[in-house]
This record gives sequence, structure tokens and C-alpha cells, in this order.
Amino acid sequence: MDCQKFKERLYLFIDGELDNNESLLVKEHILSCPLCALTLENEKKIDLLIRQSIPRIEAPFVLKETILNKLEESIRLRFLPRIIFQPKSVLVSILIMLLLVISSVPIIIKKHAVFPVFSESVSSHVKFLQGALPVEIASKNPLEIKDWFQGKLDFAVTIPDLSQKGVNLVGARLCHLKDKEVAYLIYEKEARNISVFVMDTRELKVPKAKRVSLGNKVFYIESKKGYQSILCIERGGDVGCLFVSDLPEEDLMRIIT
Amino acid sequence: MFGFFRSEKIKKEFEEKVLETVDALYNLAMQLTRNRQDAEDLVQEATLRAYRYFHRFERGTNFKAWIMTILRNLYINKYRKKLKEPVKIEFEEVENFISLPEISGVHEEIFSEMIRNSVDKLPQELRMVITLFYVDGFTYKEVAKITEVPLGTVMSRLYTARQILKRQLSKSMLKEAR
Repeated sequence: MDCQKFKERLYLFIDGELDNNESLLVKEHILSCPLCALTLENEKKIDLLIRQSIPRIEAPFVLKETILNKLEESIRLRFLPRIIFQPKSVLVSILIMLLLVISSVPIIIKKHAVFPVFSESVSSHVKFLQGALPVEIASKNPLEIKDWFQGKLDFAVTIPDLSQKGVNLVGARLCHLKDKEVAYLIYEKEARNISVFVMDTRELKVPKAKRVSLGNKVFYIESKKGYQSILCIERGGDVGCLFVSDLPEEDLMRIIT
Repeated sequence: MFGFFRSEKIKKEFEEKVLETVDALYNLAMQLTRNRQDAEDLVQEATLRAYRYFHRFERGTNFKAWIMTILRNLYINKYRKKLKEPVKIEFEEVENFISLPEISGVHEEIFSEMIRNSVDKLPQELRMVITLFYVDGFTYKEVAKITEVPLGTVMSRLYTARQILKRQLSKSMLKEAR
């Protein structure tokens, strides 16, 4: 390699852009040529000085933050419509909705299913007669019984006053009609018992029964296993009373009304 | 929906790469726009565009070179400014350069300042090549790809820039010597 060729390759050599062969030729030349060796030395110093002097500006921290935020934003904007409209996503969405519907079916059914209020109350009445449901408070005083229920149920228990009809209070207890917790009041008329179940009727779906409206009250009348059941619900009221007895329908209605 | 989660993973990968190169991007943007606000806007736009086309980025290749090409193209397209055609730059070849003494201390600072000022006065295409080569450490080939000029042009621009800086340095040294 002569000095002219060395000059042509000087920067390529400094910049590491020469292949191994040519690099070797340059190295051989500077060993034999002190002038070119000095030139190379000088150029290397200048190169280093330039390299160290060129400003390196650090990106402002705020810029980094903005970039990350904008990326986040762009992803949201890109995927929102896709999630809604992508065929695959539509399928997934439908599946999820189906699952939701299926899982809520028991709740809906439970909420809107007919509650076997007559058969349940008759069987409780029978149990009482058999001694299986003893009173938890024995009292003839409606106020005392009302007090006893205080805080036991999540609705206000009303105690029907049937004394004018010769029907007297005996006692009361808490009772379950299926999973529905109710107040169970026991009355007596000439040694015959009348059961009264006071319950929350807001979500109660009454089974098909004879329906009679009197004033602001609705009566559902049903006869099961030889027992008469009459459910009395006040229009717009939350609490209803269900009377069960072996008295004939007319007699029981006369007592209630 | 599954695409969303896949995208989260890709976003993370992209974010890491961008945070590693954001300083270099900003440097180049500053060289191009010479204005902080424009540089920041340019970096933001380039980053978002790069993310949109990230699926086209070939894994294992140089991400920094890839995203800087995007930034440069965006600058040309978006700002509708054509990079000036290589202008004929007049410079004197510094043939008999004085032998450089050991530069240290105060002198080093003076010469560095002089080089910074000189770089700042260089035409844009030279400034860009100098920055990509010296600051970002790209090879000739990578600089050629980013600036979209032939390899020979990169070499000649680098040579020209060096000659200009060398001349300034030489003047400055003579002044100091007096």
C-alpha cells in the first residue's frame, strides 16, 4: 500500500469500516511510513475530540411519560371497536352473555316462581295441631306478641285483632314456609285453632286461587286437605296475613272481614 | 379480546425498546427541527407510527435504526420539508494539519466548545450524518439506510463534515497558540 491509497482508506480504517485484509495492509503501511503514522495519530485524536464534543441531548422526562401515555391511549382506541365488532370477540361476548343469563335463571325463576303459600301454610297448621310447632310465646296480648317479634323479622308484624269475633290470641312463634320466614300467630275459637301467618308479600307470587276484592283488600281463597286458607293482602301493602283453619270458608271470611 | 392481551405483551416489548432509544430519537429530532417543541412532537409521532407498524419490524435487526428511519421519513412527509439536496459545500482541504498536541484541561474545553458551535453551523444533511455516526454509533451502511442516500454519499458527507470541523479546529488552535 502506498501513501495515496493509505490516505483514501484513512477514515474507513478509523471508522472500522475496512475488512480484515485491508486493515492489515493499513497497519503494515504505517509501520513502514512514519508520516502516515503521524497523520493517523492526529486524525484519531481529532476524531475522539469530535466524538466527545458533539452534544448528546437527553430527552426530557416529560416526553418519555407522554410517549408511554399516548401508547396506552392508542391501544385503547384501537381495541375498543375491535372488541365490540371482531367476529371472534362477538362470539366470546355472546358466550359470556349466555353464561350470565343461564346463571341468573335460578334467581329469576326463584324470584318469579309461584310460591306454594297455601300448601305450606296448611302443612304448618297441621304440624302445630300435632304439637310439632309449639308456641314460642304464649300470650293473649297482641302488643306483647308484637314486641316479641321486634327485630326478629325484617318486616313489621301486624297482629290482627279478631277478639270482636270471639277469636282469641293464644301465642306465637317464628316459622318457615319453605325458605320464607314468617310470623306464626295462633288463635282459638271455641277450642278450634286458627293459624295466621304474617309474611312479607312484596315478592310473593300467589298460586292460582279464588280471588276476591273487598275495598282495598284482596283475598285469595284456597282449600287444601280439608283446611281452608285465605290470604289477605292490602293493596299497596308489603305485609299480608294468611288464615288457615278447618272452619268453612264463609265462617272464616266473616272472621277476617 | 385475545388480541388485546397479545397486544399488551407486544406493547411491553415496544415500550422497552422505545425507552432505550428515546434519547437518540430526540437527538436526531433536535438536529432536524432545531426546536424543542417540534422535536418532542416529532418523537411522539414517530413513536406512535412505529408502534402501528411494529409488526413489520424484523426481530433481531437494529430497532434503533428502524425507528430512526421512521422519524426521518415522518419529518420529511409530515413537515413537508424536503431535505435540501446535497449542496456543494465549499471547504478547504486541510492538508498540512499541525501536529496535535496533547489536548487536556482548559484547552479541551475550548476546542470542544468550538466543535459544538461548528457542528451547529453545519448544513442539515451533514449534521444529521455526524449525529448518527458519532452520537448513535451507526455504521456507514446504517446511516445510509436511515438517511436514504447511497453509501458513497454518507462517506462524502462524513468526510466533508470532518474537513470543516478540522479546519475550524486548526484555526482555533492557531489562535490559542498566539
